[in-house]
Amino acid sequence: MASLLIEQLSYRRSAFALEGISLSLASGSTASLVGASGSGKTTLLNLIAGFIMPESGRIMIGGQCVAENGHGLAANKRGVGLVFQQHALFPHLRVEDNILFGCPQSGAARQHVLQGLLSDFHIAPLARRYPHELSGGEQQRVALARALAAGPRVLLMDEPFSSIDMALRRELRLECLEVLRRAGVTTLIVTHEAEEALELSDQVYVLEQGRMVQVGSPEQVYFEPASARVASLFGEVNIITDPQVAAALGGDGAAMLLVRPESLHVSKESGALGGEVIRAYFHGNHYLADFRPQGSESVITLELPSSMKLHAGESIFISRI
Amino acid sequence: MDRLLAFGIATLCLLPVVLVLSAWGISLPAASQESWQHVRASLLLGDAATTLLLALMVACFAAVVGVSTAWFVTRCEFPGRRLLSWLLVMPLAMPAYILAITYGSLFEFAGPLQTMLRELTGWQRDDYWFPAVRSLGGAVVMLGLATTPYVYLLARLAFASQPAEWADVALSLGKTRRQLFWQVALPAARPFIVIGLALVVMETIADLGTVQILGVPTLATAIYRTWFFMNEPYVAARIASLLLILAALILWLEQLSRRGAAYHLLRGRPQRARRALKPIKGLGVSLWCALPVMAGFVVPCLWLARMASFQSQLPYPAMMAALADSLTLAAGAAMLVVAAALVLALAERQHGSWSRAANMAASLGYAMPGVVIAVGLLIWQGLVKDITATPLLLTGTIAGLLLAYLIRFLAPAYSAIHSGYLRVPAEVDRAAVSLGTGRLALLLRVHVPMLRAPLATSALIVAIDVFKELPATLILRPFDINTLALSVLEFAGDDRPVEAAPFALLLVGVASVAVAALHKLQRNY
Repeated sequence: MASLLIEQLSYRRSAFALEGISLSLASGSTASLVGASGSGKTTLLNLIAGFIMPESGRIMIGGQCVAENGHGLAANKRGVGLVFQQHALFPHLRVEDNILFGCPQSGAARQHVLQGLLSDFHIAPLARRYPHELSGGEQQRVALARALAAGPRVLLMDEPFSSIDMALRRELRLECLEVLRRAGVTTLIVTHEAEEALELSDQVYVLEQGRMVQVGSPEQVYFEPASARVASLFGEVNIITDPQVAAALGGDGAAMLLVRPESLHVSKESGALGGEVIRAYFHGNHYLADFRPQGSESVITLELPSSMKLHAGESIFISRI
Repeated sequence: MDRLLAFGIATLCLLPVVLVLSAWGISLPAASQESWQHVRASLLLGDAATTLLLALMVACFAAVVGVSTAWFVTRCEFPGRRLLSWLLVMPLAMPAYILAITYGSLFEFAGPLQTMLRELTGWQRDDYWFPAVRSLGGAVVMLGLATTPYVYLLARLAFASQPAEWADVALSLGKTRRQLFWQVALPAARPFIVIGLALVVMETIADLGTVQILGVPTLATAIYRTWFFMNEPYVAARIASLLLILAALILWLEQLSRRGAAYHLLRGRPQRARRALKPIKGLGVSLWCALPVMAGFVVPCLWLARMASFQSQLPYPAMMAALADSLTLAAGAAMLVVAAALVLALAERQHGSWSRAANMAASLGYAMPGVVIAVGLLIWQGLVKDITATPLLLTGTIAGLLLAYLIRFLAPAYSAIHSGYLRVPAEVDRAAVSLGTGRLALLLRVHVPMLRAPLATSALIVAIDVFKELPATLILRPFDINTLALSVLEFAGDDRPVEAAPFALLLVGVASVAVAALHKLQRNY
């Protein structure tokens, strides 16, 4: 049974509208909601959490209908956990009191929940500290522990790792994923970070201007995007409209061919398409190069190993891997 | 140079404290010793207890009214919310001693309310009970109404700056709106509320006019009595030191309440749209918020106007003379205090380690009731005269009065400018200096234009406070100076409220304009 089920949800406010949104999250699964700014991700989160009511459609959480056609359960009765980018820890409470803020248990069971979460998130030594005494990563762990302590039926995370340093982000992300999986909590993560969505999710939902434009596994949305815009959300992509270039790279005659840079093989000797390097950039573990096929105005971005340094004006060949 | 000036200002602020405390080190002459024994045995304990009780009750009044109204105007939508949101600040323009005069005459036996009651019911003097304004309870309400805006303003700032995510998280964790208020919003706003309450308590213990008019004996009245009626400066200083200790205790408690958790204005998503209340509930909230405005501003203004109209001819020349004196003192004090505060803030900006000393000196001054400062300055004058045989003219001169205002009001002026400086990045100074700007030019050409709003704010704060100030002005003023506040007290002391009314109305009118300007300035800033 789906732990979170949304059917044909619509919500309108002045110029913005969410239309016909449907979504289904299996119990214990993790999904991402991806989209550009203003696509309606946070509005959808607010609808699920109960801060705003949909005009039509239905939201079911754990088999219970929590909103239907403009009416619904209040936010404090939905059993939905929330984690924000800015952590939103209560500054007047110590870490342990923040975590236990919404915990329904009492007595020894309450302490058991606290100790379990402190240990899961490796924050036991911080229990007596106040939020301002913690680093960004530590604050985010506490925010997540606080949401889990209340035993939510669904956990909603709004750009949860965006305020964390790059170096720490991936480590924290994987650590959180492990705890969430162990706890078996159904989680929906709003993000604009492609890497985060692909790494954390069982299912990816792509929103564009208030409409759900694609739903699929991380591999599906990455390799078989529904549109050029969806493709560009998940990383660099070459949009090739020149029919000759597209045909040389294995296009099937469609008006447009989408190819990711790492899907193109580069050779100095031979290949499907010859041309000239316009410029090349060093990116640490690889090079990126802009390439113009002979007799075409198209510019194709290539990804090259760091051992293969190219220079502007150099002639090369490319083929589809 | 700025360091030296800042050091001088800090010393000036601390001097009265040292001098008041020095009264304990001086062995009193026999007659004074006898007076001290008498005061200690018969008055001091009762006066101290009344002061404490009064401060506690006024703080409770201000906390309940100030916090609840701040919560309603920031989080709920109800009829008249926008108007009430700024009208709730207006009692700042109404000194408690004017409220005491107004309600004293409204509620007295021969006043309009009791007369109307007797005419309607046919009752006689002892047939009914009527609330007595000339009592401790009366003083609590008068001081409470006049000081509630301090708590209201700070609580409103705290509630408005709390990120919307807090409410979202609390609600998602199963809390009700009531629990959200008690468990999150209120505790998180506590430090702001405590600062407001500290101001309320300090104003209360420093008050002289209200308690004198209502006949409530406090430490402030004891100091005044001992000095002027018993002519015992050192005994007065000993009592003043008790008041000083009380003020220091309040400051310490305020600091203590901030320990541990870090409290600051937080950045986050702004609050969602205010919750629209149902019609009956909304009306109830409107009435609750209108009550302190009506009782603390509108009703007194109307009754003052009515009383003023009892006079066939208003004393215009005396009113204009008193207004001119009040404005001159307010303007002079504003300029002096703002300049001193700017020097302190600049010194702190350029030499960080100065911050503690400057802060301490400034806040100690604000914690000192006007009576204590006046006593400190009088002792200073006496000491200089004894030692050097040259008179130091601190009493009866404008210079002495301005010095008292400087010590008393440096703290709020400094904190407004200091918080303004925090918004001017250090890179601005470095850029100006790299372009060849000297220190004075940096201050005048860069800082002052950038700090226009905070400078105007601090000047208005000082001007309003000086305009309403009574105790220090009463004790230290030159004889040819007679401010509006002093005229009000003089008539009220002779039990002539009708004659006090036009002076009071003029005072409140001018102060209202300044308070409205201050409020607008702060909202825009």
